[in-house]
Amino acid sequence: MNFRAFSLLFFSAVLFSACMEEPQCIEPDTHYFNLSFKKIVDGSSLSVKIDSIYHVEQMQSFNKGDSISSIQLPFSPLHNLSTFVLTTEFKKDTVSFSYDLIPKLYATSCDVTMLFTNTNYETNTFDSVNFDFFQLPPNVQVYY
Amino acid sequence: MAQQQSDSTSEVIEDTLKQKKPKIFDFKGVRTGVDIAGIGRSLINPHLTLYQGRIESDFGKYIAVFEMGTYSNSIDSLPKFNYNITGRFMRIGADANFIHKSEDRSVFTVGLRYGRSSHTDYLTYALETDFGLIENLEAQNLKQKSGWVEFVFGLQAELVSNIYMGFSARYKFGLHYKDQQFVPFEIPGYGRSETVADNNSAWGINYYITYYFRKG
Repeated sequence: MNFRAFSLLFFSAVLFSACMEEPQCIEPDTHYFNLSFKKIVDGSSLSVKIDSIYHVEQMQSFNKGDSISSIQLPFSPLHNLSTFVLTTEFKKDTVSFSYDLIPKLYATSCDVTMLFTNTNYETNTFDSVNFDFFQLPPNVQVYY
Repeated sequence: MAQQQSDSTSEVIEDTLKQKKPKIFDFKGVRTGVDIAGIGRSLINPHLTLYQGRIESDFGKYIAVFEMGTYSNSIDSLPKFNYNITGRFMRIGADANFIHKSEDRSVFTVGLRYGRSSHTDYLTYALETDFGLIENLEAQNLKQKSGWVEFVFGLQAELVSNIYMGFSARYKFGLHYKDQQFVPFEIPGYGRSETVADNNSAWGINYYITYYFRKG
């Protein structure tokens, strides 16, 4: 038996074994989008009174009566489509987004995370809007 | 007589040159073995089976390697998720042996592998939305094919006559697979698809006991 080779073998194996560790649980910035309001005149931030924002697929509404310049809204992880009915002091608009859903498990200590990919808008009724899907999370800027 | 001496001198020179010219591939023998770490994990964890073997052709400075194995695992973390996988894998490649003059055929190698696997896995999970709804869902990847590349560093030392013990440390990268219903959590022969580095690479290590069939 070659004890020197054995010792080197054992030491190297222990050294490489130290490289093994579990990854962290990750919540990617893909399951919601940023909605912001801008002045159509100069593009500066605009505070808008919201009567309601209604998520059709989730059958939930929120932010009733608030005046806001921006808000974060979640996509539905149970559907490949999320439709929002936005009622503001100015008008009532509808916007719907489509995406692919891919479940992913990062580590055994984590919950299953849903990845949203190929996000795009399907329909919208805004008079003036800018969609930016290259940002994470995606940005939607509505101009009044 | 002078001509005969000249002819025999030429033959001696020619024979000497032939002897000194090194062979690139000098077949020494064949080594076969099993991964004892996989057997150990299979004995310790009743939900996991990992059997892996290898066969090497020793050509002196270079060693051709073929590895294959089977893998199955079941991870029950209900109510969060339940995961099951069954699959097979193989790796093929070659190593450079830096101690090829060793008389006992111990090896210190660096090499490359290309790995392929085929597996089927199932995931059942509970998903909670931002609105507090919880849905129980399931997904399945049928006959998922995957491929990757490895840099391998290994040592094998002789224990007793023709029986060797060693390890292979692997840096795996270039993982590719077709998207199916969910991102594969484990890939037979590769390991977890998600790692700390999160750059589509992973480390791995195998421990082998092998038997060497010497040429002649």
